[in-house]
Amino acid sequence: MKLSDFVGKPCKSRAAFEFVPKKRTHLNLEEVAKKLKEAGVFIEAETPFLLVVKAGVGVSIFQSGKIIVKETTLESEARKIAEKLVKMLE
Amino acid sequence: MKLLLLISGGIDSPVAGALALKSKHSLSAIHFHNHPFTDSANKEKAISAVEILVRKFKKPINLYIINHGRSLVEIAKNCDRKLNCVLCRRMMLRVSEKIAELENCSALLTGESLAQVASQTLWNLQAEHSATRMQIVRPLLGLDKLEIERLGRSFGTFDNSIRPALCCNIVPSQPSTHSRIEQVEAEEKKMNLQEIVQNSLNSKELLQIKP
Repeated sequence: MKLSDFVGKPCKSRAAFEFVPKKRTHLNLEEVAKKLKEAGVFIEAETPFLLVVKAGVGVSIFQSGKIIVKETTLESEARKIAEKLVKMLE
Repeated sequence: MKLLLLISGGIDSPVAGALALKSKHSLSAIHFHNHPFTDSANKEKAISAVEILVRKFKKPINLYIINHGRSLVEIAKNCDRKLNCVLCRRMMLRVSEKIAELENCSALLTGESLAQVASQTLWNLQAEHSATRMQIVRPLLGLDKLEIERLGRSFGTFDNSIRPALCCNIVPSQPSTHSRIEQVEAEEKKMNLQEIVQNSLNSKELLQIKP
């Protein structure tokens, strides 16, 4: 997965930035959590359909592949954070 | 009468609080913070909303902040995802009942409005209410959103309520709108309810907000 496979847009709440996969996606969040932990990312909450990780700011990763980067509405900053996480999942 | 207001960072619950205070009732309040599934803006907005009510009606309010995120993780790990919101509300009501007893409140007060969101259909309200023995006062039940917004503007709570804040990320994309009590209770048997409620109570933070 690359970030170019996602559409980025501000969240409806105007408090975050989200990246939605262009194609139908199904992530195995258990595997995702394992990879991120190995890469040294702190997992704040782990559920079967949603992971919340700390990557400088809080980031939610959904089973559907959607990524929400919290605490920023700046696309450039959100893109950097999401790009870094997506690379870790390769 | 003293009531315990369940207050979020949104538009409706501060209006419910204002209506109760206008009718000369006293309030304590409780806010459930959904960290890490939301951001800190919701908590800040709830605190600001209580401050606005205290200033407007010149009555002190004890505000309890509860960490609700851990309860949400337990629900998500153990239960049918479609019932997430109903189970979340039931957990809130159980914790609220304990705080209401602590604060000598006679009933709970919410900003629920019939069918506004999935957790507020007639069936879901009934399934939620069965989690507590306390009365729930719902002054906005029959009002539509525009009427509630108008009241929010008149009480001075609206502008704070519409400040940006992240929606709860753990809400399912297809929540149940017609849950049955027996179905909900069967899901709850998969969790240690007593422990979850106690953990929530242990997390409580009290803010005494005075005029």
